[in-house]
Amino acid sequence: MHILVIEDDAEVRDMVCKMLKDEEYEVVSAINGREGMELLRNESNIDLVITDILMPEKEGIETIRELKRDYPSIKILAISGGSRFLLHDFLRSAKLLGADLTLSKPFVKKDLLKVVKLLLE
Amino acid sequence: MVKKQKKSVSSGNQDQASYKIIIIDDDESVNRLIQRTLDREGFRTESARTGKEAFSKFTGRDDEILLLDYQLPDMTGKEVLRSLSKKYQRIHFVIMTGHGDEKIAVDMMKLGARDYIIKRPNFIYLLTPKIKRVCAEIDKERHFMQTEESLKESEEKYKASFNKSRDAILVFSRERRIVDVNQRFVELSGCLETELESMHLQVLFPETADPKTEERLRSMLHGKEIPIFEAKLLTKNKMIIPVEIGVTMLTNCYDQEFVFQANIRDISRRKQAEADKTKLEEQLRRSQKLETIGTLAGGIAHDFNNILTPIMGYADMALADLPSTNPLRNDLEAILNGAYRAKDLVEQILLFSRQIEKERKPLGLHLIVKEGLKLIRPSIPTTIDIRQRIDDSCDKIMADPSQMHEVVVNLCTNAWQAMEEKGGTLTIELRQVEVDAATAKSNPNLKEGQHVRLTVSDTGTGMDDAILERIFEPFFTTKAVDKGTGMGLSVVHGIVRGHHGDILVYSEPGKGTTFHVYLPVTSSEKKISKKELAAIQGGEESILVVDDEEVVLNVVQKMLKRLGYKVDICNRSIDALKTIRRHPEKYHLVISDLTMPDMTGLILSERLQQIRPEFPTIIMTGFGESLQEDILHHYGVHEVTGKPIIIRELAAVIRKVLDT
Ligand SMILES: Nc1ncnc2c1ncn2[C@@H]1O[C@H](COP(=O)(O)OP(=O)(O)OP(=O)(O)O)[C@@H](O)[C@H]1O
Ligand SMILES: [Mg+2]
Repeated sequence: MHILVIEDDAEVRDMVCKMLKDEEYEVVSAINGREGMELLRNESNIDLVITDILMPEKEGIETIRELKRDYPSIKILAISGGSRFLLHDFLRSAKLLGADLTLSKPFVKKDLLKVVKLLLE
Repeated sequence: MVKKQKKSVSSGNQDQASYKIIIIDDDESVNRLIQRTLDREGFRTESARTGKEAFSKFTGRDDEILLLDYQLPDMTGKEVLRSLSKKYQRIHFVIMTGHGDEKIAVDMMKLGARDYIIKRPNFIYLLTPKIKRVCAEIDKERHFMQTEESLKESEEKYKASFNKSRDAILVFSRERRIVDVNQRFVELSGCLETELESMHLQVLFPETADPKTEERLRSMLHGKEIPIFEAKLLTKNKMIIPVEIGVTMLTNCYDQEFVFQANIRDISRRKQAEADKTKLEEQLRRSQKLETIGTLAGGIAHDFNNILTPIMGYADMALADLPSTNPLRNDLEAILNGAYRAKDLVEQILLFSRQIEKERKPLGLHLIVKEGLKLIRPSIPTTIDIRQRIDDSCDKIMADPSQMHEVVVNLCTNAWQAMEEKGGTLTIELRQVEVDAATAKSNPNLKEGQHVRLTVSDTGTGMDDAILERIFEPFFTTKAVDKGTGMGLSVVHGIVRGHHGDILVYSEPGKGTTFHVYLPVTSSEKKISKKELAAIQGGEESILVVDDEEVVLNVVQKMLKRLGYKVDICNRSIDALKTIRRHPEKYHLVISDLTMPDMTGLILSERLQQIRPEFPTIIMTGFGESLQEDILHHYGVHEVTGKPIIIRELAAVIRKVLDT
């Protein structure tokens, strides 16, 4: 199974990658939505995209919309640690826009694996 | 000086010309002599030979003087006067008698003659000065009468304005005793006029007896004006009315050398408005402050969650990799525990800043309150008496049960903690109340209409203003470090505001505290009168309503039917899509909930557009769900309407969509 991780926080990104690689998933990562979309164009075998939804380059919400439009079969997991803006819950919006599942930070390995498995079944 | 003299000279001439002397004498030569003499002096003259002729010349004007010979051919001077005085009130006359008739002259003086002239040989030389003197005398009288009159007139005017004035007016003496009041003051003070008579001012204005006011009044004696000032009027029935007072000094009236007149204006309305305004501003400022803290906290929370993620994640993985005997496990477990605690705290901050929106459903709050009480009861000391007045029949509210639970537990915990030392009574009340227009106006966070009100009051320590001011701020606490984090009320505030409600506090140090939580009831219960309904525009189109919540479906269906529409309902978005695929032209409009399990309202709208471009869709959003314009456009949504659904709004939105 192939997973693309889009996350701007290096420590979080590395950790997520490690958690997934330990479980024998094929993992590629990108530091923002724009780079993530580029990667997708070259790697057609991605099954799941895990994306943070508050990133400086290209907001995760945008990324989710584009993903849904261009690659309707790829599953999406949105992760977020809350938002910088009042009265706007991005995880909820992400779901409304088509993210298949969401996961809030912080989390431990088993939380992550649980949702990933659910999506890739 | 020169100028003044000139003026008096010219006015002297004028005085003579302004009198007309009517000479009444049957002796032709005397008559003509007098006339010529007076003419030369600048008088206007006329002459008559008989009493009868005199009647026709005299017109009764105040500038006419009769120069009357006593012996006339047809009557005596006395008779002339008698018949004239029947017609006229004021007659100026000078009597002329022959030599030896002095007695008659004296009689006539008694009747009011201005002077008398004895016709001695050279009398003509005395005539002019005498007439001039008489003129001067009349002048003086007339002048006096005029001033008298204008005085009277102005006094009447003053009286009228005094009594009709919208200001209350009070005249008081140097000794601060009341000399006169107008009607308005009588009304304002609630006293009888007789009671007010010579009452001391201090009774009515207990506060103005201060040295400052005394000083002001004294300075008025030296001709100083004092500015309008504010004071408090104590009425007969002990009410205090805020007033505005302007004092002026009056001299020589009311038989006193000087008195003071106070114009008093009732400013209680203005004062009330001012007080309301400050209160409102204060509230606004406070809620803005909380919003700012919320935004800040939200931002920090986000970064904090990012930081916590690797701490928690790696500690957890490391722990999994270590054999159960490794002593490092304890350390890692401590790290992990700390991280979990931090995570909980961040979650609370997010709750305060209303960034966690959980699912809401129609909820009977009484169940939650009872459940919450049961839970904390064991921890409440027995010195505290618990009273419950919970109305089970309250309408439902749209709420998240676990958040409501948190509200109840936090408020009750604070209440018993405030009574921990001395004991007391904890009262929990749940009632349905109507928030009226006035209350809604003075509490910007409250909307008019039916609300469920949860009241938690205690008889504990209470709070002073300085504490009250800050209780909703996150991390504000007066408790020991291990006892409180100061997040309780800020979370409660966040939750209540997130549910479109408001929280009000009343507290007095040493007496206790009461918290009122207002939460709007779901619209399902809201009754609308026939008349109101008639004013709302309906229609006859077919509408499909989609919502996974049965209650909402039923309410909206009922509303739409009352508006005249043909309505079908559907509780799964997938089914709704299928129905429309089968009959793409059957419905004129789809109204859909936003959050539904298998397909959100947005996706449904998008699919509908693929079946039939421009398919009219309205999305119903829950509390706090805001959708950006461009997102709506992207999914083909025509309009959005908020929950709770209000029939008026829904009706308007429908017409907007269908008529354009
Ligand atoms: N019923 C009350 N009577 C008196 N003071 C109160 C009451 N409720 C709150 N307060 C005051 O408001 C402060 C803030 O309350 P809040 O619930 O936010 O925090 P806390 O109770 O101190 O800590 P936490 O709730 O996080 O354990 C309290 O420390 C206390 O000073
Ligand atoms: Mg508390």
